[in-house]
Formats: sequence, C-alpha cells, structure tokens
Amino acid sequence: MNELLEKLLEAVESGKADQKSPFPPQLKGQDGALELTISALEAGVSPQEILESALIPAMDKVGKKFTENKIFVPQMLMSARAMGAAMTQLKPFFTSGEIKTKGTFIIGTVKGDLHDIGKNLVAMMVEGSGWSVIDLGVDVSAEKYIQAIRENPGAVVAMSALLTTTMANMGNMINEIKAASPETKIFIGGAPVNNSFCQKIGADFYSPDPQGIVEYLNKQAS
Amino acid sequence: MKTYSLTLSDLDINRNEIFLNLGYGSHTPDPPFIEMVDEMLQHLSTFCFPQAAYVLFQGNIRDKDHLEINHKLIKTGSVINRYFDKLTHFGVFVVTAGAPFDNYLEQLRAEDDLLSEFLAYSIGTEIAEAAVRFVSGQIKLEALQSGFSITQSYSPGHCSWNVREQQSLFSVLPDRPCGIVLNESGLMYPLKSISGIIGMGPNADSTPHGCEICGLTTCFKRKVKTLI
Repeated sequence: MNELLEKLLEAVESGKADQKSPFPPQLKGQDGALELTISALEAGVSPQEILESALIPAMDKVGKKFTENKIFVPQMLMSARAMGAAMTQLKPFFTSGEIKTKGTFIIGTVKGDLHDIGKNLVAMMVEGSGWSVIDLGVDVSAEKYIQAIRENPGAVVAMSALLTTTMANMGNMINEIKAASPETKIFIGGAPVNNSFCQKIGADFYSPDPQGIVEYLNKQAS
Repeated sequence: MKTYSLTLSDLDINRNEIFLNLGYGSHTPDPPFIEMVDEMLQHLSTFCFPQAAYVLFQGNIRDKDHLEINHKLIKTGSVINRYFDKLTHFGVFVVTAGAPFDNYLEQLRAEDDLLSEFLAYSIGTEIAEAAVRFVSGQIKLEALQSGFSITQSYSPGHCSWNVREQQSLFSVLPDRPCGIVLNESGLMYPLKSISGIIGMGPNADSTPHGCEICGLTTCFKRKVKTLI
C-alpha cells in the first residue's frame, strides 16, 4: 500500500487529527489525518482509494477494538475526529459523485431527548465506513424523519435515546415512519435500549455499539 | 430553603466515577486521558460553581406508592417507599452544576469538539453526584442533632420513581430552586441537575444499595455499572 495511505490509516486509527494534535504522544509533531489526506490527493491518489484503503479500514479497526474493550469511547472519539479532519478534504468528491458511497444513513436523537454524544459517535463511525450521513440533530419528530426519507429514498434510519422516558417515544415514532414508508429499515440505539425492546416496538435492528450498526449497514449494502 | 453556592474544590469529586462515566468500567485510562480529565476539571473550576439547596419537611407514607410532604402527595413508588416506611421527616433537595456549565457544553457542541463535550459531560455528571453527596452530608448533620439517621438519596427517574413525578416534587419547593426549571417531560435545566428526597428518622436505613432494589432493566445507570 502507498506509504501515505499507511500513515493516514495509522493517524486515523490512533486519533491524530492534524499536526497540532498532542495525541497520541508517539506521533507528536508529525502530520495528522488532515495533512496526510492533502498530501495523498496532491500525490495523485484517488479520493476513492483514500477512503477505501485508509479511512474505512482505520475506522473498522477502531470499531473492532472498541467492541473488544481494547479502546474506550474517548479514543474512539479521537479517531472519529481524525476521520472528520480527513473527510473535510474529501467532501467535494462526495458532492461531485467522484466518491461512491454505500448508501444514505439518516440519524437523529428521538423526540423529547436532547442528548447527542452517542448519536454523533455512531454518525461518525458510519460516515467512516463509507456511507453518506444525514444528521437530523436532537429532539427529532417522526415527521422530520419521514421528510428526510422522502428526500432520500432507500435510506436507512437510526434513532437514539439516552433516557428511559424518551425511549418510550420510539415505538410511536416507528409506527408513524413505517406507516409512511414500510420498507425503511430502522435501527435503534442508546444506553437504555436493548434487543427485546427493539423487537417489542418493531424496529429492525439494535446494536449496543457503533461497530454493530456499521456491520449491519455493510451487509445491507453488499 | 438552605442554599449553598459551591466551588468544585468544596466537592469530593471522585475521578474513578468520572472514568466510569467515560465508559472505562474497571479499566484505568491511559495517562494522556487522565491528563485530559484533569485539565478539563481545572478548566471547569474557573466558571462552574455548583449550587445545592434543601428544605426539611415533616411527612409520612400514605400508601405503598405515595409519600405525603407538606400536604402534597408525591408518587415515589413502592420500591422507594419501603425505605421511607415509618419515617417522619424528609429532606427535599436540588443540586445543579449550573447554567454556565450547560453553556460550555453548548459551545463545545457548536465547535464540533465531540471529545471535549464528552469529557465535560462525564465530569458534569460526577459534579452533580458530588453535590448530592454534599447536600446529603448537610442533611445528615441536621438529622444527627435530632438523634436521627438518614436514608440514601432517591431521585425521580430512578428506582421506579417516574421522572414525570418531578413536577410534584418541585411543587413543595420554592419557584426555580437554584435556577432549575422543568420541561414538559419533567427533565431539569440546567442539564446537570439532580433532585431528590432523603428520609430521616431514628431507624432510617442508610445501607448503600445498588440496582438490585429496582427492576428497571433498561436504566442507563444499570448499564454503566454492569461494565465493571
């Protein structure tokens, strides 16, 4: 593999967003994901190859390490931030169509709930696996989801909740979304949610960690 | 209502609880992350001044689900009422990390600095919990003067006490205690606020207990603890 791409993979995996980033200490002063992506593009590496050979494998490693308890949420957030820094350089190629995404993923925090950290983490991990992500924000109504689905046919939908009180809103919202768009796959996540709740309210998939949703989505795309 | 304006150094902030909130379970974070937590705590100490307040009331259990305080019924539920049985005095409290803390979270969110937001959020949870321990200590001092002991603190949203009952708890307190307001669902603003009740009496059971007294399997607190 191209040396730049190897370094980019390492930078994202270890959470080195840019040259100024103090972490990880062993890469202090070295180029981070931002500079390495710019260098790779300048060296003529295609945006698609940057995504598929460096960014996606890096985030895949991060997700697996998290699932195996080898890293924890803060490290994952650092990697996601490094991924985001690289993506700032690739965004124009998504817009132009030069980079093909695996599909569209619509995510939000359920109506009544204002917590967004878990939702943002999932959004970053999914984007890092090659999907186009539409983040509807927090306190999202069923109507807002339905509108986004209409604008993005075939998109997969995700709902997050932190509180037992707000997770209770998920069931009605899923009913409304499924009534408007029966084929839409709906994923739920968040600290109080579990698989039996997922089945009870008619959601299609639950995962306790971001890697689970990434793997589910990639199966949908293949 | 007795009100306290506090600094972070007034509180016994437990770094292990912060690490737990950050998702480390029984693992110790790597030194750079411990450093980040310490730096964030230092930064927060420059503008985060928690507030705590409580009022003591006479009261009693009316039935298995309801506690009567100040002529008002609060549906605390049967899980908690077991621990309030035969008690005659209750401390109703609120604590908050304060609005500047919320503003800081908002600022980090606007800057898309997810890592700092998560660190601050996790520390804010422990700041609020530490403020509860502080106010619990103050109530215990008052209880001792009457020869009473105190129970653990119980809060809406936990141990089967529905968070929507927050309204009835706040109805026995002055308007906007410590600047805290409730939304329609009973959630408090500022975000990092905790309300609750502590029972007082000659035989109040202060034995620490965990999630085993509550059957709510979907509670996020239970999930955090099971990571240990």
